[in-house]
Amino acid sequence: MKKIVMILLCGGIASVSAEECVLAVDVAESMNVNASNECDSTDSGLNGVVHRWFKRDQKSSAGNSPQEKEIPRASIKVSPPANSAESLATARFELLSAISQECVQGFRITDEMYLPVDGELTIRLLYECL
Amino acid sequence: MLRRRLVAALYASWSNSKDQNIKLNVRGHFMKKALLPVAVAALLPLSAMADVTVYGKANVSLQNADENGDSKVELVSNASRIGIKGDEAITDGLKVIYQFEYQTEVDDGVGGNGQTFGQRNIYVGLQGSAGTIMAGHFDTPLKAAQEKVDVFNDLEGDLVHVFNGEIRASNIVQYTTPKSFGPFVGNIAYITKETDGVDNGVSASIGYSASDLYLAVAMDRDVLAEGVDMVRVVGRVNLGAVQLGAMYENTDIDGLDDGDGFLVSALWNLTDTWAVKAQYAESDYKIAPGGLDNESLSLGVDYKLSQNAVVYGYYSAVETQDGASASLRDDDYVGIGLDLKF
Repeated sequence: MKKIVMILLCGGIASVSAEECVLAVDVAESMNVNASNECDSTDSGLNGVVHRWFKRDQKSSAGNSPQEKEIPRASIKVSPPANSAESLATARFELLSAISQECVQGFRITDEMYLPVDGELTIRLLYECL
Repeated sequence: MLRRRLVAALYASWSNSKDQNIKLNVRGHFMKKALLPVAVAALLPLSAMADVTVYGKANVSLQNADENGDSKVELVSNASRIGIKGDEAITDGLKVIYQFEYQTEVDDGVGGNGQTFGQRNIYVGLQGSAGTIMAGHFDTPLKAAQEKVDVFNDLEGDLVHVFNGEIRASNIVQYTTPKSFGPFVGNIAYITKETDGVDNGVSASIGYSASDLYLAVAMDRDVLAEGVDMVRVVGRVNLGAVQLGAMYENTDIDGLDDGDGFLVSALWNLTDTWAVKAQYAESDYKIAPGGLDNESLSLGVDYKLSQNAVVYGYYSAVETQDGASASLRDDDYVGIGLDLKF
């Protein structure tokens, strides 16, 4: 009899899986307010739908309010004067590189101007970070 | 004989009581008004809704019930419910926690008192580094101390049919020790009867909880009724895929006989999907509804369809001697069911 019990227990130990998270309904039933192993269901099932719906709702209500709407801030960068096609292209590339370091998520050039200064050209870029 | 008269008297007193605080419904305290959880959700601020968790379960079974000689096939909803819970930070170390849970009857849509939704565990509280204080209508620490030892919870083999301490109390305020206590947790609750001259109740528990071992001691004083005290000791151990549970309860009525009850349970996860389980419970007497020499034996098998869905089969035999009529009652149930959690 002891052998049978040992075999059953060993079989059980072999088949046991890692500790799983506990579903919210079971946590609620346990009345354990300190539970830290509750399954995260914010992206799945009914909770996923609820959370997406509220996020969308919050987003649209923010969009409807002119005070809360985030207005992208326009910035400007100016290159040193360039006197050849090559140096002009280099100056433009350096401006774009500087902007990209500032705008890690990307940027939009809203205006691009070429201004003569003493027979040379200066590039002026207006941009907005994304 | 003395015990039989005692339980009969208590049962009659309980049945006739107009005091809702004493007439605690062990299967769920049903609301006087049908209140949709959705309506509650609508009352919460949008910021709170962002962190809310909607949860619930639909547990329904088709069973053949042989009750006191009458046999019938019935579809039963086994504590199916829907709830919302969540928290909202007040400061870095302090948050408000809340839970609203309602029972719904999947089989016929009608619960106790003719209402669709019955109130289950509902509370609001504050949680911080010093612990949690909460108030509402919820399971006493003694009831919650059963943890997972009842492997036929919500079915006919539920220990509620044998033990006295399964109380979901109204007007309860509870303190719980903080998370920093690690696996140790203590709860103490005060239950006001809101009646002049009636002793208010106190329920408390101390437990050690780890994944493979759970131990708890709990007590109730004047909770079920004035002058009724209970002590409960619970243990669970997991040996690989086998879970073993045991529980002891003593009920003491002022100046009268006291009664003992015990439960043993075993659940064996044969594979990742199949599990078999068995449970036996008995008690000297049960106060509400009244019964003497209660016994319950259950056998079951679970098949896990997914993490959230289980198909199960069970057999339960429940024997009791009616406290009022002193007649012996022998009920048998065999059924299959589906439990879906979300």
